[in-house]
Amino acid sequence: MKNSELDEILRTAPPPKQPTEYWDEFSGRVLRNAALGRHAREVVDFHGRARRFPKLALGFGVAAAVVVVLFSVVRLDNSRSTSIMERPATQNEFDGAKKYYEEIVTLFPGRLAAIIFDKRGEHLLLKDTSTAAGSLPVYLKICGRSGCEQVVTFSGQQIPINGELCDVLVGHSGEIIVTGPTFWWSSGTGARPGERYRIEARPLQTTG
Amino acid sequence: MVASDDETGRVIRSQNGDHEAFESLIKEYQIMIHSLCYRMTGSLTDADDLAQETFICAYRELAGFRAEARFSSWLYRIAVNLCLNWRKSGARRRRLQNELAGQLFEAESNEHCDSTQVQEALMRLSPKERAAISLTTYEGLTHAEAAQALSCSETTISWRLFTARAKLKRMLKDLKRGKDR
Repeated sequence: MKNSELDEILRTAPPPKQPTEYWDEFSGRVLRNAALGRHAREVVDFHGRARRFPKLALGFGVAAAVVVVLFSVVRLDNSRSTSIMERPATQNEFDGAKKYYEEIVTLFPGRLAAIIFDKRGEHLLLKDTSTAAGSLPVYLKICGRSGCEQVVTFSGQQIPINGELCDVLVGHSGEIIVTGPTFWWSSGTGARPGERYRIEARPLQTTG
Repeated sequence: MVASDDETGRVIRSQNGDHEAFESLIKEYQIMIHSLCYRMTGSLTDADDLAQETFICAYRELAGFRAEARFSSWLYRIAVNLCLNWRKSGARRRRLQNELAGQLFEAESNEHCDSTQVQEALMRLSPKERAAISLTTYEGLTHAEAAQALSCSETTISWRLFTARAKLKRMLKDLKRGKDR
């Protein structure tokens, strides 16, 4: 067999084809994973430093244990007074969400529907088409019986709260409204007795 | 070998944080890198992972890319290195066998069967021989370009191609006879 004949046989064997949707979404997946990987590396860097400085790691460990104990005591105390975990958003939480949003929104211009921060980490909700463009981002902290989650989203978007799809809307006067199949909340009216969630909402003023 | 002005511009914009520019580079090279990863691993699932990993790696290392070589050659180098480090663990081997068995089962035409035979033959080469064949025969790189991508001399590439071709000719002789008939 000549080299040219071998090449012909090799070239007539194409790799399996992937569907068009696979290629349409490929670059988005790469950029998303690259962005998430960067945050993961920051965590790894921290642990790497901790390995190099064992005393520092021990200090952090003791501090973390104290925080866990205090947190457990506060949580036990809260559970006696109310079944909903009420933890107002701290400035650190708000700033952290804002920083994360500012980094992610440049990766997916016009396609970012929401960023959800819950106990499992950060999750992005992306739309195929440009839907969020033009509206200002809003920050929400929602606490229920199962814990709290923070959300950065836009007026007109749907976000999952405890398994329910809820709409987030910003009214003419700037009040933020969250409506679900079984509840309704507005920043204008504040907390109402008997409600299932403790919600905080405010506009996310960005620097960009 | 010089990159086009358009490509150089997009690379520079990507290095300055323009994600749309980097996305356009991904879109341009995604099929090429995926095909290379498939040739190297014989597994569509692993090719998916490795192709993604190639671009993620490129994204992280973009600041270190110098436009002396083509962006595509740089990507090839990343992809081939990732594929060469791809380890055939027991689970992966089983998955690959299952995938190949599935492909054979699904084969409805001789053409599809030929593809599987060719891929099986490629998988019996050493990874470095497979890389040399993938880059030259499939991706159309010259020996010099392939040598650059694989960080070795042109002579080494020529030798790997010679041994790879000899093995492939033995393994695929039946396929040729079938085609001649």
